[in-house]
Amino acid sequence: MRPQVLLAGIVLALSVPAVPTAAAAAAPVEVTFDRVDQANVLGDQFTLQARITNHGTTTTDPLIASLNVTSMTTDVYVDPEDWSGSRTHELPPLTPGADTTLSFELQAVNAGRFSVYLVVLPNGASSGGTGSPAVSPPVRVTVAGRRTLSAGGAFPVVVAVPVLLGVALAVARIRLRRAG
Amino acid sequence: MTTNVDGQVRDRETPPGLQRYPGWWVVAAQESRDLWVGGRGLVLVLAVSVLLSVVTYLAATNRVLNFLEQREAVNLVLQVAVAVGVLLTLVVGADGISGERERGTLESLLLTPVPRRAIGLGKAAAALSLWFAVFLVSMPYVWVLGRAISLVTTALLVGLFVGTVLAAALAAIGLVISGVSTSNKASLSVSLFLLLALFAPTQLPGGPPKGWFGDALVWVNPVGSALHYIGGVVVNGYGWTHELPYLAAPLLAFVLAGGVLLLAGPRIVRLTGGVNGE
Repeated sequence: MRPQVLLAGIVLALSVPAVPTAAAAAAPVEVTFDRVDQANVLGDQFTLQARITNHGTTTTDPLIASLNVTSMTTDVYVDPEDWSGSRTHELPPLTPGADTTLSFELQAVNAGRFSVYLVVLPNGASSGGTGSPAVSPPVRVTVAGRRTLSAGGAFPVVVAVPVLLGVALAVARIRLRRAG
Repeated sequence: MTTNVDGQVRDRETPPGLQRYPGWWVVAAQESRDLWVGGRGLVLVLAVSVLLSVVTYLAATNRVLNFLEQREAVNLVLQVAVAVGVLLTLVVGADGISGERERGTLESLLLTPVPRRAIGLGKAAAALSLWFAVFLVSMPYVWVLGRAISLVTTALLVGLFVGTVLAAALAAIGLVISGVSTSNKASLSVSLFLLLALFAPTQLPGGPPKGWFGDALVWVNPVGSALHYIGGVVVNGYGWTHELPYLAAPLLAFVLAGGVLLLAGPRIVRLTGGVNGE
């Protein structure tokens, strides 16, 4: 066999997969957020809008979108459920060129640097659990600390209330004793 | 309440100004006077304030507190105040009739021209004054923990409403137990056991669902559902109507216990204890 024919055969064989995979069958879905940065103070609430677009030529399967929060440092433990009470949404199939918007209410419950990103997975009868995920670019979230409780702030109340009640009790006892 | 069994008046004649008020009000005023002027109420409230000071100081000095946990700190102090407040109310209620029997002061109270139903109602109102005092004392603690997150008004309002319903229910339960008990010791023991039984399920670990039995246990338990409701409003930021069904058990307990106290008042406010009066 001539080398040129052999090379052309190899290229052709590599360019056509023998068995279509789920990833190859899935329509290309793009996920984007309405911003790339978000700065907050501890306790602030903010909303992120995500847009999911079907850039493919076929209608997607039903989709499921899951928001995640990851700390960019290892010293902060993140429980994403504390950040948002509704992180997972089911979406209907998207026709070619169609898009949909999701809104996520979040609360900054940890101080530090975080990445928030959205993963969209096919959730059809056959593709559920097997399809390739589409992942958004992360939103960089910076949360400044705010210490609102301190021993100094609580100390006057912690001491004053029992002392005042103790004085009231002593006065009541003395008056009662004097009254006979 | 006011006199010994031999009729000796201590210092508790009905003030002339009270004579035009209904009987239950007069009894409540006299009982409250016994509770507060005698000093027992102030001592109890002083003890509550020391407890709340310790809890508040620990919450304020906790280095790992963050925003969410600050809401939980407010909830903790509020729930301690409600729990201790209703405990004291129950104990005072449980001492209300059987205690007077054993101290020999019930006979003279029964000789007064006040209906027995009004005596029970007045004693319940006086016991409730202890809850209101505990709530007043808890206000500065809730303020110091919740002022930075604008939670003070909500926390105090929900605590006052739910705590008052719960305290009124338990005061009535305590008085009914006191009326049917043969001794004051039995009345206090049964009441404290009941309270512990009601509080025990609230100590189950939270978080994951507990199944239908666990949920039912919270729903039917007036203390557990009341504390759950307070936690929902204070910690989770729910509206007042979001978990309204959780108020069913405390309200039902209030209606049932109050109804039993009113209906059975003439039969349980008497010199002999026990169901049959034996």
